[in-house]
Amino acid sequence: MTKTAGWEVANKEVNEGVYLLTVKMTSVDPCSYNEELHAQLHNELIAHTHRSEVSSGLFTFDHDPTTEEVEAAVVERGFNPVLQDVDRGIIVMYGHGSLNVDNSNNITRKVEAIKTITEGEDDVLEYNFNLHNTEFMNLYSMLPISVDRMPTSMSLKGDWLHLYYVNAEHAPPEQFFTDSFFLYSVRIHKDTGAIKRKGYDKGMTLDEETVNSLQGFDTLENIVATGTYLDEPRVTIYHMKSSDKEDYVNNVSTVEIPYYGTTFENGVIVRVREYLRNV
Amino acid sequence: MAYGLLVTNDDGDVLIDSDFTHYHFLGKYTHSSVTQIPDVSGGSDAYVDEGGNSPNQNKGMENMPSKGEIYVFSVPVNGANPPMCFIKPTSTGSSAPFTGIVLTKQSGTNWEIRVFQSTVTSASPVLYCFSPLSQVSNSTSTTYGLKTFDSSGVVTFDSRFKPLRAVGGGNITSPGLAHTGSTGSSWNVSLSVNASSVSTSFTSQSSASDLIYYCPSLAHACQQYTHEEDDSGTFDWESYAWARGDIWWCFYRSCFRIASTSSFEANYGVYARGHIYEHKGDSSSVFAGLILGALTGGVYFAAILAAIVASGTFNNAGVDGGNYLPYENSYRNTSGNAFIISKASYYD
Repeated sequence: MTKTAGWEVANKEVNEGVYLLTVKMTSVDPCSYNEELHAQLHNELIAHTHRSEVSSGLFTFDHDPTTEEVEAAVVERGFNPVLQDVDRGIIVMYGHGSLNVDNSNNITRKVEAIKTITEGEDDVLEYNFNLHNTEFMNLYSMLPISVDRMPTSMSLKGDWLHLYYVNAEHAPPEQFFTDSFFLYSVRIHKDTGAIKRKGYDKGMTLDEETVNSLQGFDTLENIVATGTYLDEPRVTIYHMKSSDKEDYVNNVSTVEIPYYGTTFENGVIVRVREYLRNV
Repeated sequence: MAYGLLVTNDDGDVLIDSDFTHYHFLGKYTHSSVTQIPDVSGGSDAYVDEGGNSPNQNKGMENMPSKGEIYVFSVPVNGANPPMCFIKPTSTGSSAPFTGIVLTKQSGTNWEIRVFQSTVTSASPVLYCFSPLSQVSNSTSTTYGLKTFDSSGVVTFDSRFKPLRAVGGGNITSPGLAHTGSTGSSWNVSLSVNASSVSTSFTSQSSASDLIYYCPSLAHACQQYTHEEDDSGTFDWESYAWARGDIWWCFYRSCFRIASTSSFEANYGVYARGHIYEHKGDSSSVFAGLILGALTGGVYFAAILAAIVASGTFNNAGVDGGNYLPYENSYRNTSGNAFIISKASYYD
């Protein structure tokens, strides 16, 4: 599906001594991804793009133009085979890295782990299977139960191992979930094997009655996601730190822009966590 | 010429030839209706809302140049030979609209004449029409003048019935392309007429506003702009894919104006125009069949146009149907367009 940048003569006609060339000009996003990286981007819902544009233009010459002359004409008219200002590299919430683009348009994933900061608790890093495999496997080996599907990432918060599942189809890890969410997390107690689950949806998905029961809810600004606990009377609202321009999150959280997760239990705030990249 | 009458001027130009069927004033006509070629506009939207950052702007006739208007005349002519129609334009000079006859068609006992004017004006052009004497059903009580007959005894010239008097003429060449330079950028089309007018001179007259001209529109040009974009990837927790392909075009007809007492000019007006697009989005099947790249152009256009016509989106507002995009990015019949200049005051 990838188009090749450049121009080609789509039609050429000589009319009363004038050479009429219809030229098709193709501009593409110059960044390419190797197969493995590309699969990761799609499966982990990491924002990226494959944009291309094709325009036609009519060029006239008083002689049969050479390739160089056509090239000069299309460039003079502003043709650039490289698309400019392609919006890329926005990490989606719980994707585990956004993208770096170097001067040669090589794409790599940012490797810094997502860090969770909670007042009164140790900071926690979240390790991705692809990016931090050693740390990830260390946590994975601590699981007291067998897990059917390898999670996308893991972290350890207190005695609880957190398993995060992200995939392009939003398919639930069937060992733990029957309901569909956009993303999933499973917490497993490292000693007892007790299980608690949470599903994530975009935006604000709570009904009015539930919202009215949340004390201080009206102080939250710019909600980007809702976390629903399946085994506890809890809900987490993910929201921007403020309405200030520098805190603005484009649709969903990006790794560059820290955001908060405020958790309510029985309608009362029990904790506020900040998510940011570990730089 | 064994016998008969031949009158020439100092340059040897024939003024009267008894063997030649001279044209005489048939009448002065105003239009019966005004029309325009309807736009061919529309497109296909499928799952666009699911298309992520899919572009949705300019899906109508935005940025397209205005069309000219077509004045429809019905000229009664007693015979099968079409009338020779001179245009008395709405104005003259370097800002005047361009006007030309684009259709001469027999309709019952009349001839339908269509006059195309490059811009819409409050005033209207008037036709001064001429025919052979055999098709002029006038009568007169005047008993003097000059009357000629051919070898068969058919009247070929009669000074009592206002013979056509040419005061100037020549050949004029229309511009090649109607629009030069870039035809658009992204979803913004640019197809307005920007060609320089072609000028030719004729014998200088005293008043430009008195002049009428015969010069049927022969030249035409058709130009288009196409643009397509596609994208796919992941954004806002979802995979997405979209593709949009558009084609805009204008069909131009040549038309003319009296630029001064001795200058005749040719250029183009937008006769017909269209904009067709196809836009698809998909949030589940990222790479499934959304690429229009190989399709934009003739086959793609034909298929979409056929769908629009079938759906009734195309509104045929009393104008003959047909393919309004006859060819791509070219022009035809630009050279050797004969014109004749006369004066309205001879016949008013």
